[in-house]
Amino acid sequence: MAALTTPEQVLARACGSTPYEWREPFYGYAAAARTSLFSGAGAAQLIQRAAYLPNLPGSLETGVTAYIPVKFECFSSTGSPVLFAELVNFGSLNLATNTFTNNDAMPTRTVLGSSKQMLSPILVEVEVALNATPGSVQLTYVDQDGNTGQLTTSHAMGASSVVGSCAIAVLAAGDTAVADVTAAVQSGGTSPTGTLRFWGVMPLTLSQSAPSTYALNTNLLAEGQCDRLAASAKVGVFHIGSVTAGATIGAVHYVGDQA
Amino acid sequence: MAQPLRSIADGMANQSAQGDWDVVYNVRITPATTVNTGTTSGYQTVARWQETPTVPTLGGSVPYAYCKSVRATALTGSGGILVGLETNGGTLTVSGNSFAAGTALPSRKSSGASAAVQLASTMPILWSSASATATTPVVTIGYTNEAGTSSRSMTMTLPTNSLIGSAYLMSPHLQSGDLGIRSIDSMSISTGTAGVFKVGLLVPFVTQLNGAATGCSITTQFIPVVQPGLLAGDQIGVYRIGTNSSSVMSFGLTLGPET
Repeated sequence: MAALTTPEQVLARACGSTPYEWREPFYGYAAAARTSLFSGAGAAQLIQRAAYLPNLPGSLETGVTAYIPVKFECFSSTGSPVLFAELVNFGSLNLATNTFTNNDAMPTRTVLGSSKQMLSPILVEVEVALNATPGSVQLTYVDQDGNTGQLTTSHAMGASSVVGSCAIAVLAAGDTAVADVTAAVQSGGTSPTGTLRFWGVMPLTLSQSAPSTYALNTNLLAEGQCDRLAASAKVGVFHIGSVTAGATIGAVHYVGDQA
Repeated sequence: MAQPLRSIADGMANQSAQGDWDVVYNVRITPATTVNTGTTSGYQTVARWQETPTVPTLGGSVPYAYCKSVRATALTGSGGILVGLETNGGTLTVSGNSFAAGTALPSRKSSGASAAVQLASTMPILWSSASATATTPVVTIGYTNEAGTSSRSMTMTLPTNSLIGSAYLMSPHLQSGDLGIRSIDSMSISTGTAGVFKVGLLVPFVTQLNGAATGCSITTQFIPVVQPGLLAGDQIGVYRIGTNSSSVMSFGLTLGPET
């Protein structure tokens, strides 16, 4: 056997006598409008968590070498584009103690025949709700060229931002993406509380608007995407352009790749 | 050789063997650009995106990369988006009315072709890289056309005081009979005290809608698409058409390898 490299092989793998396909449903609900987490120039892109998905299984089944997402279904009462992405956990910041926990850098992968560290914007998400006076936050990162010690804008955080509120940090002039987040510091505010999570984002699809009148049904292979996700990979679904309340229901279909 | 745009299967096989470059960038368009409906300056309001993605290193067994898909969503300002291989053809500094030569478009193999051919820009764009102080200036540009004929000339009368990022489609104003530009030979301006203009020699491979807030766009490139092969260090120009709004825009693309 060899890796799956045609749609027919994927179909056969999904529908064969021993099917290597599973459907991972998800459901997300924002009871009230979330917050535009950051304010200030360049930070106004509205973004929020649409749904939480579990990490991919921690160990690959026998005969499976990677997980290929082949189909993305989504229905939402929030009319905005939907980003389905592999996530990299850069780290987190506990505002109460001003403690940054450093986690992963963007992975190195074979890209266009060359080993290269992947790049991403910094997606900041409220993991524990913020208090009414959270102050500002500034991140230190490694940029697209490997320069360390780069600083984002110092972003004022929205008062009482609820869980799932997100923002994209504004990078230093001339920077287009990051390879890692190495520090984060809270400043100002009054007795700040809450926790921020910092994600790297590797897009699997940015799907068309998903208003309440129809559902998305995205064939990722037909979009030219045949990404292979490893065991324990993190994935997530986000709304871009909206922080309104609403429900998001859907599923991701995976097929197990072969050696 | 397998061409990643020829079929889904070829794209999958190449991705499996050499890896795609999937990236979402983290920048914005700001501030608002100059509204332009002038019949002497391209007829359309066009805004240049703030960053210029660069093609990463290609491995030794990958002769070219091709754009497999583009994903974009802007927070404000509906319109179109234009994406392509771009070379800086030349720079005009208003103060002193000085011209600095840029680079001619290269020879490149296109998708589906077996040999390299000289490229010409069918969508050259004059844009402000620094806001101008100039009242309805006339810009005169000398160029070599798509057939290699030099000493061709065109003029455009621009709106007063073009803001940074404002862009003007040159195609309607080419010398009669010309279809494109290989290189820029000269640039001059009739009046003004400040500002910088550049010519982007764009070879477009994506023109798509780019909805605002509640919409997004994703274009997947399979047959019948012809686009130039991309090499490491190539610049990718991104323009928004039909809007001058200051807006955050999420933009990403996927490059696939030829093998």
